Amino acid sequence: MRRSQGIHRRDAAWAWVFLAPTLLGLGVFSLWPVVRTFYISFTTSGPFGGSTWSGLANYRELLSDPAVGMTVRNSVLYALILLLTIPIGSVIASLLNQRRLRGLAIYRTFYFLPVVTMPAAVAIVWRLIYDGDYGPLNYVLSLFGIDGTYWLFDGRVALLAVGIVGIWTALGMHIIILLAGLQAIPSELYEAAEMDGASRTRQFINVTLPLLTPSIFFLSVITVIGALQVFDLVFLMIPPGSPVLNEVRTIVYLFYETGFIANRKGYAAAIGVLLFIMIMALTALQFRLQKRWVHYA
Amino acid sequence: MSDSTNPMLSRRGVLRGGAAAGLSLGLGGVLAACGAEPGNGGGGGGAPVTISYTYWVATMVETIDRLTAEFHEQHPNITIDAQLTPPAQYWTKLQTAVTGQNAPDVAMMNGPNSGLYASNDTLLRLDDLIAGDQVDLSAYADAAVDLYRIDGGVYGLPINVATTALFYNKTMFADAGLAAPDETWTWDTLRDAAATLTDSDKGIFGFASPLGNQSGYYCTIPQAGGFVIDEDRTRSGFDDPKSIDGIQYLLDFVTEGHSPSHEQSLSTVVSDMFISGKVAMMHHIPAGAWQCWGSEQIRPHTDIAPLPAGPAGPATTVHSTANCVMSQSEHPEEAWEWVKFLASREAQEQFGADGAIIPAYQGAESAFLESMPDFNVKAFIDQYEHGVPYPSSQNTAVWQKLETEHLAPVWAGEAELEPSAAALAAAMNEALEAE
Repeated sequence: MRRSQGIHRRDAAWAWVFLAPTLLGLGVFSLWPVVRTFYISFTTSGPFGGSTWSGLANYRELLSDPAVGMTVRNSVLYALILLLTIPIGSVIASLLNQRRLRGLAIYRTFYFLPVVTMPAAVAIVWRLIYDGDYGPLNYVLSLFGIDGTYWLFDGRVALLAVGIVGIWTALGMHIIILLAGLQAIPSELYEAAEMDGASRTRQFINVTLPLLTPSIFFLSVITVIGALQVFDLVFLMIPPGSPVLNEVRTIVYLFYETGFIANRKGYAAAIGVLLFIMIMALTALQFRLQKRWVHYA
Repeated sequence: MSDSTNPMLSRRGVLRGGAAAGLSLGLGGVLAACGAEPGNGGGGGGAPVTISYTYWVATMVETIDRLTAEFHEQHPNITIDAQLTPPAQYWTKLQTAVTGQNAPDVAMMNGPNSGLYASNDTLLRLDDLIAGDQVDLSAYADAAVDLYRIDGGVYGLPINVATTALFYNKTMFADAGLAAPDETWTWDTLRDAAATLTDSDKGIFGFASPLGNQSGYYCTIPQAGGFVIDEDRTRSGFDDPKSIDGIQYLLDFVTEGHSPSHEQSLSTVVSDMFISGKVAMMHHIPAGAWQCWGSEQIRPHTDIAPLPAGPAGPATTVHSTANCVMSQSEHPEEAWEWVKFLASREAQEQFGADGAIIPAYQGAESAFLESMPDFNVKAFIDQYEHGVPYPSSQNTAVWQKLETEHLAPVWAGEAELEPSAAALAAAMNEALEAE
């Protein structure tokens, strides 16, 4: 008895040793910056460090700053657009899930390719595609007699245009996760459903969908988090002089402008904290709501 | 920065620890992006010393490499570790390095940033070193030195001078039977030529007038007799009626269809349109000459002239980059040697001969003039006498951002110039007040 306790203790010590590199990295590069960000958000900070405590001043400004309201709106809209990845991904995943499909590996590779492509490269290619004068998109549209716009310079569609690229980039990851979810559904359930006389549609609604909900829930959580943090695509696709910046500027974009162009690190940190709170609240909400619709088998 | 939105990273983060981990990666990526500067070597006196140097001008790489070796020969105890950082990341990286007490020994500066760095004591004041080594500042273009004369001190030795000149497609001019631009040109001559050269059916524009400051309204505002910032650097000139005239002149090309629209010039940079023969004239800095020279397609059709004179006479913006010793440097004397060397006549002549920049050292330009024999690059230098210093204050980047915010809607045809200029002046004054 005593002996085995000793072994447990020794095992625990080893566990910590093995965890140490990760914990250290997380602590130094993730946790400490988060703590610092909270601290900095209560200060007024110079361009090269050197800060003075200013209490809630940054947060007071945050609440009355119209730019913040606009970026929150844009980021939430962007997140809603990106949530479309889930239904699109589900359709493609169920098409790919047919074992008779030939060249499955090729399709999977094609869909996954954007996920592992550098965001900068993605942005540059899509800027060309969206180009108002020479872009292939407008060329294709012109074949159907549609007069395309300057997609990235038209306030009505610019955010959607960036969002479509975001969906395109994220789709591969969604498909992989949804495919895994689909393949984890035991075939007996379908056999049973068939014996009960359920149609294909019925099977999808009553078997596939409920058993896919854990995957869908997971995807909706990470999509919302990732979408609210979007910066690179917007920054790379919308040039600084663009007249549509107000329609597409996201929270992190504002954070960047405030912290690194205007050199107001304290206020920028407060914007970061706002984003933190938003993400935490939305994620908590999703976890609460999941009880109503997510079925764990 | 790209880490903050890397989908792989944030996703894996969430798998483990939910929202907090995902977010912490975001914030962590932003705040922990302090790039470590290599090679802050130790030692003092005659002991071996490594001086780290950062710059962003990619066309200078070859010359810098050669000069690094030459310098090491002259000063065997000093090794230069030169690092090219792309312009897009340069300022963020330098600022983070300075904040993290990790600054390079020597850094290249530009007009919009010199005030910020000097006024925050991150740059070493060079006056004593200049006097001690009897460096003659009058050897450099006045406007170039003035950009780095801040609060009565000198904070950098200039390496290059950039003025703006008029680039034109001489083949298009000949085809249209127009006389080539020269120093007799005025705004009216350019306006007429732009109208004649514009051919909407072929998608050709007579003149490119994108929303831009250095080669755009920073030149035409003084040509109209206006000003961007007053001499005390405390008041904005954007609401001055003459300044507005200067901006209106550029804007008219866009509204009349003689220049690519705002959307077009944002999606394709005008120098590319010039190279592909879609634009007959453009304002550009020396880097544009280098770009056109490098293009087989446009080189035979290109030439360069001084900017046309406005109602108040000729004017062009003079910008200059300079090398500065960072005050965090542990080896300021060795760092100064490198700064001094890069600004010396021998180094400056090499920069000129490579054609990448116009050397700031007056008299060292001859090699530059010969580097592109078919182009009248002398136009850049001839305009020094009408040079207006690049407008700057302590926090230039802040109000330059305001310029874009207020003028972009005007260029896009969504706002009127006059109220926007007034709003810009008010916002800029507020920013200057906060300095």
